[in-house]
Amino acid sequence: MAAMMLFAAGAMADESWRYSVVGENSSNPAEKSRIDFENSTSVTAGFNHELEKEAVVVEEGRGHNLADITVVTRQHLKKGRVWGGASFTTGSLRDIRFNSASDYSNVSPYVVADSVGGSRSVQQYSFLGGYSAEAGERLTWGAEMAYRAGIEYRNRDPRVKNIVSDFRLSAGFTASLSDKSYLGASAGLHLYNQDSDVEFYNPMNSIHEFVATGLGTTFARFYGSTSSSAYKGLGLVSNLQFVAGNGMRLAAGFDYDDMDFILRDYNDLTLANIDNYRVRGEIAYSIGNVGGITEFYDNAKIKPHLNVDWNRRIGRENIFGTATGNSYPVIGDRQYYWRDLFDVDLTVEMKIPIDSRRIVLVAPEVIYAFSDEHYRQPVRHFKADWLTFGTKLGFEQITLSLLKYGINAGVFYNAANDKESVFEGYDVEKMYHQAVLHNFEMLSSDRFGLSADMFIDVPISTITKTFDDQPGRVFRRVKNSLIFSASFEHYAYSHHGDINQVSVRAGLKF
Amino acid sequence: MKTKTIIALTISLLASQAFVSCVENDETAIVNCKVTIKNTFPEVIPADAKIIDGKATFYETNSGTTYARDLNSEEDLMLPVGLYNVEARATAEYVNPDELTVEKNIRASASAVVIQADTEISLEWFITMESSSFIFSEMYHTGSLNAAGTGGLYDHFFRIYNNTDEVLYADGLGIAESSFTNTKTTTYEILTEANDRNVNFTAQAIWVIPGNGTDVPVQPGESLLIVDQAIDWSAQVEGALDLSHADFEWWDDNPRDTDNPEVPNLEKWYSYSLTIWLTNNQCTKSYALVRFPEGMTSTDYLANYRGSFDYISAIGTYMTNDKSYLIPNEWIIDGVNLSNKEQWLYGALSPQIDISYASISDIERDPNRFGWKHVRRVASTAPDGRKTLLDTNDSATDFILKRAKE
Repeated sequence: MAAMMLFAAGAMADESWRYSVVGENSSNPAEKSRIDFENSTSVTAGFNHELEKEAVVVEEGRGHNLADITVVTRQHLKKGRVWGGASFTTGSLRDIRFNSASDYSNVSPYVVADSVGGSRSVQQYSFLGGYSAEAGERLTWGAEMAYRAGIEYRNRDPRVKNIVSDFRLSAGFTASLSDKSYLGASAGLHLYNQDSDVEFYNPMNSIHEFVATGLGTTFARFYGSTSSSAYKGLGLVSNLQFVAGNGMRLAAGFDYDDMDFILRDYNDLTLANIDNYRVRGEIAYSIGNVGGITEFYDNAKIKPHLNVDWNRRIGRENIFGTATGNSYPVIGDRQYYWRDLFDVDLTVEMKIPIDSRRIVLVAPEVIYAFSDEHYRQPVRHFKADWLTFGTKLGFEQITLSLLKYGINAGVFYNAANDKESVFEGYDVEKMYHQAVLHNFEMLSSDRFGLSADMFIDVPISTITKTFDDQPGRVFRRVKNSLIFSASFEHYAYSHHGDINQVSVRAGLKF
Repeated sequence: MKTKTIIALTISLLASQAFVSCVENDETAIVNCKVTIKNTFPEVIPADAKIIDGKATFYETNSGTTYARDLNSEEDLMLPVGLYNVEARATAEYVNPDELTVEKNIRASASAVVIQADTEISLEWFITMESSSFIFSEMYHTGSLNAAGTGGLYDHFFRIYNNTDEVLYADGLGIAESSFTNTKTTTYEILTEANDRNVNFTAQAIWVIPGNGTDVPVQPGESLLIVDQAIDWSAQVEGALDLSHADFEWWDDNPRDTDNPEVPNLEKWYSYSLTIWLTNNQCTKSYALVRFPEGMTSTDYLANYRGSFDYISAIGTYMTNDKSYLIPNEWIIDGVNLSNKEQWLYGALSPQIDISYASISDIERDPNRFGWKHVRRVASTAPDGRKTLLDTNDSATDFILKRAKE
């Protein structure tokens, strides 16, 4: 469903390639003890190419070329279940402008910026590990840790060098209410750090770095004189789950992140603070059972699910009095920036078995989403909403030789409205102002999307099991297999450029 | 809890409200503070003069936002918390001793005003002077970037422009550089009364165009190029200026200086420098164009206008500067304060001469400042093509930055 959720987000290309941690990041690690969990390990290599003819978000760039090597495993232990992964990603991010920082979607709107920008190289390591076990007859518990470390750099002026460290820890439990129903809760911690430096080797340099404060505004006092900045964040994550015996699942989550934006050049001055609130909700219902080939499917024949996601970001800038040396006393603050993102997504996944080895997948989806972004002084206000309709059709089969393959195709249309566009102080000669308007034009453009993906698992060896008490019954399963997947996504923006994304992945599963 | 403690806490609470009673707008979440203006008029204007048509602009240095306020408004003057530079213009109306109603145009400015709570701002008004004479039309103090890219060359210059519609004579005109620096980096307290900027300009270098009063005519709309060293700097570094055709150069009799015999030298009346005088390439000084009284010689001047001053340094030490001379403000026909935006504090010139400053950069010692000159804006162009340059005694308005090598 990644392609459809892309439209729900409204603007972004699939960032999971750039910034996600590897593996199966759980909302409640204790739930791992309550789901199908088969021992497996995979080693894969992947490549993802994305090209945006026009940047959807100028500060995010115009695409990327990224390659990775990833190991993911899940194993039963004597008393519990363990899972984990490690990944190394390397490549380049294309034509990023008005943003010298990494993880723009996390740290915006406060970034050191310049009008020149350029492409960057990126290297990233990510690790994940989790453990879950039963505690008595009714309780399960689990804990999970994820860590991502990355470096982004550019070897020409302006020479960006960003180092990111992103750590997440969560723990939770579930408690049985009856044979098939349970209640779960989890809580977690998020620690985020980024150091971002910009250097110039050219002594004739005329590129000015400035502090962007959102929607084309800048922090005037330190204009042109900032080259070293940092972000320090602390976040809390909480989730609740309720799974009923009749197939219903209810889940809710609340995240809060508090992040300081610091100027190193000014005695580690905290220039601004970001409060990020996120509320998530999910209602899902599983009807019927496909049976037979559950190894790669959920069991439900029909699974409607409704996801609601609301995110509010509030930016608070400090106000400084007269400096004494390099010390700037804080005399107040102003809350000038805020942004709301909202989406509600209804999908009905239907799995229609043709026989015991073949299945057709149909997944219609409808999404409503909006983005509402403000700056108070000068007054800037951009609001847009979208209604997205789409569906996905797929076919998957497992042969008698246990070769599995699948092919899916999707089509989506996204009707957007620009509800509000206020840009006080617009200066047509300022490229940064033009970039803000460009971002909004992309955000509020109608979009049409196509996607196609396929996978194939080729068994190398299998295990055959016979049952003494049931003569004639033979159970075979794959021991080792070669796995390969590929996908293509195309998005066409009305009156603007297209985005094309291609990815391939191949490896070994055992 | 004891009664006394409760009373003390209550009083503290009320007192804190009295001192910090800014108001947060529920809709915008912007905290606004009430600002009251305390007016101080120059001596000729009585304290009970009425301000009419008063306008003030408050520039908040953090956000770069300018708030325009009407000083005659019935409503309270409210401003968000911040660090402000203030500029104000008004007309003062009063009855003079002859019982006639008089109106005078007045201006005021204040720098680095912190508004954190309800605040009283003191504005010292002065009567604006209109000038019509020689003016500085261009100044180039940063110099072109040297070959190593580490600093500026000495291809500095002043361009002096006849901003009138009649022929003016430049001989006897002096160019003076302030002793005081306009930025926070040299904050100190001046103890000597004669160095009050509202009375005298305190100069550390004075150079004068030679002549007998009618030797150097300048036609309306024409200018004189006065340079440090009248040589072709572009022969040394590509992109530097060719100043070999300057009208005058200032030459120090020192091996470090170069004298172009084809370009007349200014008369050196005084320089604090024991070697060569370089204009301040950080652009944090003030410069004055001076018309000395007729018949005044350098000997007379140096004998009578010594400007040594006592001061308390930024670290509290009692100090004396004896390398300065005084120039009465009435001799100054034009003046320009220079600074960067980050460190601007206080102009060495009287606000009557320059109420603001011409900025070279946003930050102190900006490495990008090299190669940029200050150029006065054009106010109007006559049918014959003669340009009248903008001279409002407000350098922030009057000057823009341009590349020295165009």
